[in-house]
Amino acid sequence: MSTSHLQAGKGARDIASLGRPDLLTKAPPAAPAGQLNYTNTNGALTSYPSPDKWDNWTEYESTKWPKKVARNYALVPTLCFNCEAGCGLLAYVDKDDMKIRKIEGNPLHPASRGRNCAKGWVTLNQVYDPDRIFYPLKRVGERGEGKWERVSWDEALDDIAGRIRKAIQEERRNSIIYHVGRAGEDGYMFKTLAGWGVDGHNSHTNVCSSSARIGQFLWNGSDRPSPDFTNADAILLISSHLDTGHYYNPSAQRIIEAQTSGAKLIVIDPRLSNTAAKADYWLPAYSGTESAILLAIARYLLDTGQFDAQFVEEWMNWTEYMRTVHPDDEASFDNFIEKLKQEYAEFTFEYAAEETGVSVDLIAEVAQVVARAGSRLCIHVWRAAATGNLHGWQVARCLHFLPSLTGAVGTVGGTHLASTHKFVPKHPNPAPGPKDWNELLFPREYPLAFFEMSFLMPHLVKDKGHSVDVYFTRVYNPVWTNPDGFMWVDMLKDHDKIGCHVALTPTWSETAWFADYILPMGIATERHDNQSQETHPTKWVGFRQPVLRALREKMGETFETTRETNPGEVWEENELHIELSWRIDPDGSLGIRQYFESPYRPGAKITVNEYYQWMFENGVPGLPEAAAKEGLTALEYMRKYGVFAVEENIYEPHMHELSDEAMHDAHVDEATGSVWKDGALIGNMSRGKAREGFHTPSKKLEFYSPTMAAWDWGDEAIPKYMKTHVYWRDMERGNNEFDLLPNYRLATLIHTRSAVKWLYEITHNNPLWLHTDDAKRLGLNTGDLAKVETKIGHFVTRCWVTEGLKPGIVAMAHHLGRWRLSEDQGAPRIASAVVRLDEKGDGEYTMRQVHGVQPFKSDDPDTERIWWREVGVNQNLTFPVNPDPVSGMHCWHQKVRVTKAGATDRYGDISVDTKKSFEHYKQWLEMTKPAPGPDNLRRPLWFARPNKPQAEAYTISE
Amino acid sequence: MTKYAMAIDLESCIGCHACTIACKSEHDIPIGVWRCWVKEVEKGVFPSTRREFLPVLCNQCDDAPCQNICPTKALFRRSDGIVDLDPDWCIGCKSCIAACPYDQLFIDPNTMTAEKCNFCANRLEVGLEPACVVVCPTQCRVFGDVEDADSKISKLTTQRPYQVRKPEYNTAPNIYYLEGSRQLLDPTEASQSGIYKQGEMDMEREAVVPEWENKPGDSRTVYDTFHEVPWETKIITYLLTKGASTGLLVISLFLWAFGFKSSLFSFWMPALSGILLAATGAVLVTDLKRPERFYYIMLRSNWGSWMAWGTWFIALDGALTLLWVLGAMFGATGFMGLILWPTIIMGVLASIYTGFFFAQASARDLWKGSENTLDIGVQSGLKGAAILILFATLFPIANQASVLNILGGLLTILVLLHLSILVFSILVHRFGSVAHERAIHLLTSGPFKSDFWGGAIIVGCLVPLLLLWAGGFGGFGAVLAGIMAMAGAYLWDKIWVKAGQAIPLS
Repeated sequence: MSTSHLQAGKGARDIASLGRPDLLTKAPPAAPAGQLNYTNTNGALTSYPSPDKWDNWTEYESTKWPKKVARNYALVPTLCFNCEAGCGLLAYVDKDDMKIRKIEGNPLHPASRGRNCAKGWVTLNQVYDPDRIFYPLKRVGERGEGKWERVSWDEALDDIAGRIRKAIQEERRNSIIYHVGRAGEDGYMFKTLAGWGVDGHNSHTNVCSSSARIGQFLWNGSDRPSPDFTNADAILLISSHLDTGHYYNPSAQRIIEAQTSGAKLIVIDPRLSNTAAKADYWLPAYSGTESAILLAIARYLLDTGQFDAQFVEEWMNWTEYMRTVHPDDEASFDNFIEKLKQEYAEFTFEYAAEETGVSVDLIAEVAQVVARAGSRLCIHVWRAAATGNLHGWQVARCLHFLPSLTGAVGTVGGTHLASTHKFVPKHPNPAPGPKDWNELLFPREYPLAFFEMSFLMPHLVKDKGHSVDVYFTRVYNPVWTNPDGFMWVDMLKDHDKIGCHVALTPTWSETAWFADYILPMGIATERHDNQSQETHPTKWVGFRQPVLRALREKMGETFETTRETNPGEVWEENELHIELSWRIDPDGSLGIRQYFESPYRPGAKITVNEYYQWMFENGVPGLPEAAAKEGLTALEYMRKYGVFAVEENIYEPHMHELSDEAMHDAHVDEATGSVWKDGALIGNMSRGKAREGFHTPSKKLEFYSPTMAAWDWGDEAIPKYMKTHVYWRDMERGNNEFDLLPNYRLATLIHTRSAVKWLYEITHNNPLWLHTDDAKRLGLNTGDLAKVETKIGHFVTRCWVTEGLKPGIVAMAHHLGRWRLSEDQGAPRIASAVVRLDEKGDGEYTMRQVHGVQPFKSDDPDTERIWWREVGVNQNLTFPVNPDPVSGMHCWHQKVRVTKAGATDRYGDISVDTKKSFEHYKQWLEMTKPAPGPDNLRRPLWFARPNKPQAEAYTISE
Repeated sequence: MTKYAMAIDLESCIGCHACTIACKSEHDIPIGVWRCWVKEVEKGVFPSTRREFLPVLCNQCDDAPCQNICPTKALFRRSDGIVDLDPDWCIGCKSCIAACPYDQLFIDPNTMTAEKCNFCANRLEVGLEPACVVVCPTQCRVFGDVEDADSKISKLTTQRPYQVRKPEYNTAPNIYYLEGSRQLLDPTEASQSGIYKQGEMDMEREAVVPEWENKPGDSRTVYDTFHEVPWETKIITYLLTKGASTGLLVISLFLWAFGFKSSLFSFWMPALSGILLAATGAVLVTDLKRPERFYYIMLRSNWGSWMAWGTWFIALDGALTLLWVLGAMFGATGFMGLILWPTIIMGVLASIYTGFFFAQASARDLWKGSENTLDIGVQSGLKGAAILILFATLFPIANQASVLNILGGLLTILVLLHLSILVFSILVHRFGSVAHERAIHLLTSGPFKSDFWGGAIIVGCLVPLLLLWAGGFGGFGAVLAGIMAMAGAYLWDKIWVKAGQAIPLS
C-alpha cells in the first residue's frame, strides 16, 4: 500500500501530552506470537496474570481473606454472548472442583482489551441462574398451557429432523424458519441453512437497525460504520455509544480516549442518554428532525468551502447525479457543487433550529467543530433516530453525507466501513445458497427491505396464508421484543400456521412458553462460535468455547459432545445442527449430509473440533504461522488465547491500488474516473492511480443512488430531510398527545438475555420519562401512575419526571417489563411479574399483573433477598407494526396519549385489540412500492442479504 | 513504604456500573449490600441538563473512624494504608457502620459480620490490580502507590487538581476525585426521590424518603443504593435502661452516703439498678449480629474505642453493683463504705461514656456536640430520680419528706438542665454542618417534630416543671412529673437516635 499522503496523518495519539499520563503505554507485557497484550502494568501490579501462567494460576479466595486460602485456577478464554460486541472473557475455573468461580476480561482481545461492561462479568450469574433450563422439554398440554415433560435429546432430534426431512422431501423447504436474535456468531447458521437448501434465516435486524444500515449501505456498500474513534477530532453520534450500541464497550473505551485527548463529542438525541450527558455538545432535536441539523452542517461546509474538494471530486458519484438529475447542465465538478448548494439552500441554521428546537448558536458551533475536524470526523447512527422514525434511513443518509464531504472516510480518525474491519473466516464444506426465494422473509412489497420482514411474520402469515412447518426461535423472544406481541401469541398458538415451534434458549422466555420443544442452549462459557466485529481499524477473530470442555480436553479427557461437560444436558447449537443435519439426511440421499462431513475423515460426521480446526488452519491468514511459533496447532492456539488479530492499522483500503494483473486490458473512463474491464467496473482513479474504491456498483460514494431511482424511489435518491410519522408539529398538545420514544437501551441490560440478579439489582423497571413542564400540565409527579394510549390499546405505568428529556416527548427503556403466566416458569423469576392474560375473543387481549417480583427459595441464598418488586411494563405489546416502506425497519416511535391513570387502572395493565393492529399493518403496507424492479428482480442483486440465495432466485419467474 | 490510593477521573466515568458488578463478582457480595457502587446525579434545567456519575468505595482513610470505633480491632490499618477487616474477630456490633461518614460498611448477610472494600487485598497479594480498576472500560480508576513519585497515580494527582469526599471530617480519605462537582460529592446537595430513572429504592425504605417534589433547578439523585441504619430500637432501649440503671445507682448510693440508710437505697434500688443493667447487657448483646462472640470485646479490647471502654465500664459497674447488693444483703457496711466511691465513679462512667461513644460514631453530626455527654449524664440522673421518687413515695421510709424534697429538687434541677441543653443544642448550637442543620430540621419541623415539641419539650420538661412548681416536691404530682420526665427523655433518646441517622451519607 503506497498511499503516501496517508503516512503523515497516521499514528495513534500521544495521550501523554494531553492530561492523562497514566494512559501512556509502558513497556508492553509479554504477548503470544501474533498478538498484542493489553494487560495494564502498574508498578508491581498488573490487570491480568500473564498468559503463560493461565494454565496454573493461584490466587487467594476473597471471602476467606485475610486468611490466605489458595484457589488453583485455570484461566480459559471465551467471548461474551450478551450484546453484539463479542468482547473477550476469561473464565477462572477452579481446578479442585472444576467449577467456574469468576469471569473476567481477556487482555489479549484487541477490541475489549481486558475491560468489560457490566454485562460481561455477570456471565457468572448466567452460569448459575436459578431459572436455567437444564434438559430438553416437550409440551404435553396445549400450546401455552405450560405443561412440559422432560425428553431425551434423541427423541427431540428425531422428531424435529423427521419433520424437516419430510418438508424437504415434499419440496416445502421454505416452511423451515430459523429466527435468531443477536447471533453472536459469523456464518455458521448461514452455512447450515445453505446446506439444507433452505431460505429460512430470519433475523431480528428489522426491529433493530435496518434503517441505519441501508442509509450507510447506499453510500458505500457497507451496512455499518466502523469509526476510528481513538484518533478522531470530532465524534458526531446519533446513538448512545457510551451507554449501548454497536459496540458499546469497545466504542466507549475509544470515544473517551479521544475526548481525553481533546476530541469533541456531539450527540443528537431528544433524551439525555449517558452519552449525551458526557457530550461536549448535546443537541436535543425533536425525533426525526435530526436530518435538518445534518443538512444545515452540510450546507455550511459547502458554502464556506470547508470540504475536501479533491476527495469529493474523485470519490463522490457526482457525474451520475449531474447526468441523471441535471441532464441540461454541463456535468462539471464546479456545477455539481453549485447544484448541491442550491439543493440544500433551504437548510440554514435558522431553519434547522426551527425544525429541531435546538438553538441556532449551538448548531452553528457544532458545524464549525465538524468543519475543523476534517478527515478526523467519526460519525455513527445506531437504533435511535434511524430506528425510531419513518424514513429513518434518510437520517443515516444525511449523516454519512458529512464525512463524505470532509473526506473522513477510511482515514485516521475518520469513519470506516464495517466490511473492511470485520473478519469472517471461511467455513468448511460451504454449500451454495438456497434456490428458492422465501416470500415470508422478503415479501414483494419490500424489495429493498434491508433484512427479513421478521416482525411482520404473524401479519404476513395471516394475510398471505403462509404456514411454517418447523419454526426455530434461537435465543430470541419475539412475543416480548417485537411490536404487536399478541399477534405473535395468536400465530404461535395456531397449529395450522406453526407446525412445530422449537425454542433454542438457555432460560425461560415469553416466547418459549408457546413452544413445542424447549431445547437448552449454552451461554458464553458453554458453546463454540467464531465472531468478529468492526470495533476499530483492526481485523480480529474471536473464539467462544465451552470452557470446561476445552480445559478437560487439554487435561487429557475426550468428549463426544459439549453436553457432557455442560451443566445438566445443556448443549450448543453447532453440534446440535451437525447432528440434526445428519438425522435429516442419514444416508446422504438428500445431498445435505455432504456439507456436514469431516474434511479430514471422508464420509464421517464432522466434529466441532474438526470444524474449527479446519477453519483456523484454512480460513484465518497468519494464524497457523503464529500458532507454530508457540508450538501449537491453530486450534490449540485459539483455545489457549481465545482471539487472533488478523490485520492491524487498516486505513483507506479504498485507496488500494489495483494490481498490474487486474489492470491488464482495463480502461479508464476519463469523465468519471471509473476503471472498466470486460464490461465490469473494477475500480476508480484517484491521485493518478487506479484504486479499488468502495463497495457500491460505481465503486464510489453514492451521493446519488441509482438503485433508489431504479426502484421507483427517485425522489429519495439523494440525502433528504423527510418528516417522520411522529413529527412534532403533528402532535396535538391540547389532546395530551406525545411522541413516545420506546427504543433506547440501557448500559446495564441487554433485552431479555440479561435477566440476572446483579444487573436487575441496578436496573429493574422502566418508568415513563416525562419532562417537568409536561408533568405539571398533566398533573403527574414522579411515582404516579399514567395511562399511555397507543393506536391499538394502552398500558399503565409509573412516571419519572425529569429535566433530561425534550418537552413533548415521553420515553421508556426498551428492556424491561418481563412477564410470566405461571408462578414457577415462563420467564426469569428475578425479573418478571406474574400476569393474568385474558383473551376476550375476537383478538382483544388484556393483561393484568397478579404480583411483581417476589423473593423465592433456590440454591442461591440471594434469591430470598430480592428487594425489587415492580419490574416494568412490556410496552411493545401495545405497539402496532410500522414497517418503513424502504428499509422495512419497524419505526419504533409511537404517537401516544398520556393521561393520569384512572381509579381502576393498575400498574402494568395492558390492553390491545389485534384487529386494529392488523388494520394498521394494512395501512402501512399501502406505502410500499412492490417488486418486481428492473429486470423483473425481487431485490437489487448487489444488496446484502443473509444466507444469500442463488442468483436465479432473485428473478420473479411467473 | 508503599501507600495505596485510588484516583478516579470523573470526566472519564460513563456510569456503566461495571465496577459494581466486578466487585460483586470478586467478593461474592450478596444482593442488597454493596462495597462499591456508582451514584448518579442530574442537575440543571433542560436543555442544559447534565448527568454525572460518582463511583464510590471505601476511602481507606488515614484516620479511619471505623477502625477507631471497632471494639475488637477486627478493623485494622495495614502498613500500606489499606483499612482491612478480619471477619473472624467481628462481633457484628455495627459501630463501624455508624462511624463511617461515607456509608462504606455493611453487615454481610452470609456471615453476619461487617464487610468493606479493602482494595481487593487478596488480589494485590498476587500482584493483581483491584477488580473495579481492571474492569473499567474507560480506565477512569487509577490505582497505585502514592509514595512512589513515578507511579501512575502520583503523576496524575500532581498534574491535576482533585477532591475527596467530605474533607471536613478530617479522615484524610485516599480516594481522589478528579473533576467532581459539589452536587455529586456532597450527599446533602442532591435531592432523593426513592424512585430512580430505571428502578426504585427498597420499598421498605420508602417510608423514610421525604415527600418528593420536582423542582427543575435542583440537583437530583437519579441512582443510588440504599443503606440500612445500624442503630434502631435496641439502642434506644439501651439508652433508657442504662440511663435509669446508672442514675438509680449513683443517686441511691449518694443518699446512702449522706445518711439515708433505708434499705430502699442500700439494697432495693441498687438491686433494681443491677437488673436494669443486666437488661442493658442483654439488649446490647442481642443487638450484635454475632451475639455469641460478645466476649471478644474483652479478649481484644481496642483502647481507642469508646465501645470497648463502655463495655468495661458496664461490666465493672455491674460487678460493683453486685458486690454492693451482696454487701447490703449481709449488712457489710464497712465493705460498702470501701466500695462506695469506686461504685459511684463507675456508675457515672457507665452513664456518660455513651456521649463519647455516640460522638465517636462520627458519621452523624447530630451526635457530635460535647453537650450530649453532659445530657446523657443529666438524663441518667433524671431517670434515676424519677424512679426513686416513685418508690420513695410508695414505700414508707424513714425521713420520707426530706428524701422527697431532695429528690424533687434534684429532679427539678436535672429537668432544667436537660431543657437547657436541648434548647442550647437545638436552637443555639450550630457548627456549620449541613447534615447537622438537616437533622435539627427533622427534629424541630420534620417527621419527628411532634415527638420533639410535644414529647421531649412539653411532656418531658415543661409539664414536669409546672407540676413540681405547682404541686411541690412531695406527693403524686412529683411522681407524675418524674414519670413524664422519663417518658420525655425516652422520646428524646428515640428521635435523637433516629434523626441522627436519617441524613443520607453518600
